[in-house]
Amino acid sequence: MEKKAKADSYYRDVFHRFTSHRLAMVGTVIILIELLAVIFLPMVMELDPYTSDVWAFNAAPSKDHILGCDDLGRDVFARLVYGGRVSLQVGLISAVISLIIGLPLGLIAGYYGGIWETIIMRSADIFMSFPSMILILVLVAIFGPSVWTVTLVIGVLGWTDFAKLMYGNVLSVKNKEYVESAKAIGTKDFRLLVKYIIPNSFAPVLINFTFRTAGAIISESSLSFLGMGVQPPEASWGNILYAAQSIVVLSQRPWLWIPPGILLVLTVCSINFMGDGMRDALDSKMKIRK
Amino acid sequence: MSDNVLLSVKHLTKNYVSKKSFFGKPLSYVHAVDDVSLDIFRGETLGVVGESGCGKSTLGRSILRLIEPTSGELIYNGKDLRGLNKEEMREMRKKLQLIFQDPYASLNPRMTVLDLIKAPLDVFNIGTHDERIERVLEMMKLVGLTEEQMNRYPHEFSGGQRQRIVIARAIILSPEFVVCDEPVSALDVSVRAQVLNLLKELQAKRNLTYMFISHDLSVVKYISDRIAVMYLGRVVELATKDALYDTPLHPYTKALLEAIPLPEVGRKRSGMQLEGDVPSPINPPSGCYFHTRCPYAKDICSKEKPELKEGRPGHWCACHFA
Repeated sequence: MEKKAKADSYYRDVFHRFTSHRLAMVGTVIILIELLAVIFLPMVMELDPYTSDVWAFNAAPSKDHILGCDDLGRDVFARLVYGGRVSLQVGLISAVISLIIGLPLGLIAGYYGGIWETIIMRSADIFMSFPSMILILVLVAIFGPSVWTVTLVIGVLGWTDFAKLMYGNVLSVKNKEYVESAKAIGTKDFRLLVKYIIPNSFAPVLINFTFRTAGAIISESSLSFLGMGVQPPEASWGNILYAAQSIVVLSQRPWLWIPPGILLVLTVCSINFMGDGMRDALDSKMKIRK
Repeated sequence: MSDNVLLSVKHLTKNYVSKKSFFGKPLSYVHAVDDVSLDIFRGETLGVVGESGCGKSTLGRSILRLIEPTSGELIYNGKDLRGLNKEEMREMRKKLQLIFQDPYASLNPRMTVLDLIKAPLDVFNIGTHDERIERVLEMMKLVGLTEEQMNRYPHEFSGGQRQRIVIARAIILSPEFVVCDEPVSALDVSVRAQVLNLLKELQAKRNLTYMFISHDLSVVKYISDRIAVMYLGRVVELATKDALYDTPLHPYTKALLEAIPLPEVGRKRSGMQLEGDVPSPINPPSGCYFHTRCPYAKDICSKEKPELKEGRPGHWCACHFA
């Protein structure tokens, strides 16, 4: 029993290092609060992001509408909560899609080399040589804007990051002596990849995952801001900001664009802080900070 | 004598392509190991010495087929290792092990000592979970580690202790033949002797055959029964330890022995000293590879390649004048 408990001590150390990283903890708390809010607030409060309050077009914050209303009289707070669902979901799912495509490809390119390397890495170069925003706009125009097309397009186009990262890591890890020593004891390829190469490339991939999530949230917001992303009446932080394209809104109705703007910045920063914290925590050579 | 041979290396060669044309056609090669033939006897320690870059490590790795040799035969217990397919070779690795130079690099930082030493058992699916742990503990005790250290990670250990972990992993499958690739070069002088003695002790207890690669003549002298001297990918002299140190035949060996620093005040260098650098293995000199630096070189040396001949019984040398 005791042996088992001790074997987990690496992960306990990682956890400990992560929790003692101040900024990472701040980020984690903010993200947790956001997640809890967007998931549970609609259940406990009466939030309606779609119905117009005909008495409250462009209304300033008040007791009824704590963050005011937009030009169609819809409650901004309710739209922020529902928009948060969409934005966080797009961010996470598209990062997962990028990871699922990019990780194995990078692994294969790096480990087997040769023709695999040429095909995979050169396609990555080709993908990366397109200005991604234009490509995304074109694809969204072809497939029609919706939450799922946006998620899919951002996710699929993000594979190059993971592939390049994994490729580079595999190249450096596979020439390490411990990999050679694993070969010397007769370890098969699959086991070598799973037990030696992936765990030793895991930290940068995880960190990149957080940055990718943050990047995807920004991409989604940019698209929605341009009107090519999530389509009204459905809300996302980006298309709430869409309103700020008008100079009147920008100068006279700050409640329409400051809250989603702050939320975006806060979310992206928090995710990046979590990434930094994870990097330090996963480095087994780091001493635990007192 | 010949049934005592555990491993017979015949004309082993390893070339690397060093330059390719635009279309990928090889233009020049590095001759890392060049036509090496030697026998390794059961239970002995064969030392391999040479300057850095002379192909000692490549030789060791080619013998285990961790680097695929370009040509040659590796007759192990009467079977040619190079004739084995991937799966048969994998099975063979139970008998053939390698101890690495740098214990800081040769242990996976993400695995505990238990998992590290247990890895060969996991790979070959030997025994139940509990049996494996028992076997690991037995090995740890054998190499001088304590049971409490089982769940620690390699970075928590000193160099000497890590090398003990590496050794424990190498011998857990009860191999017959272990290539030790500079196992003590990365260690402090103070722990070198401990690790060397551990290797010797294990050899006696478990009937191991070692190929001990090192650039350190004193270490090789301490541990080896026979010694092979390598220069530019070739074996230039092969003899028992005493014969090699007392009556070296090859001028290169003489120069190497001369270069050992002795703690003696006012000692004069009597014999020869080497000048110049080792020639490039991409364009090795013609004839005897050593003739460019050899003080005794004659015409024939630059024209004809000397064969490794048995000058005296059991004492082989590749020199026209030995």
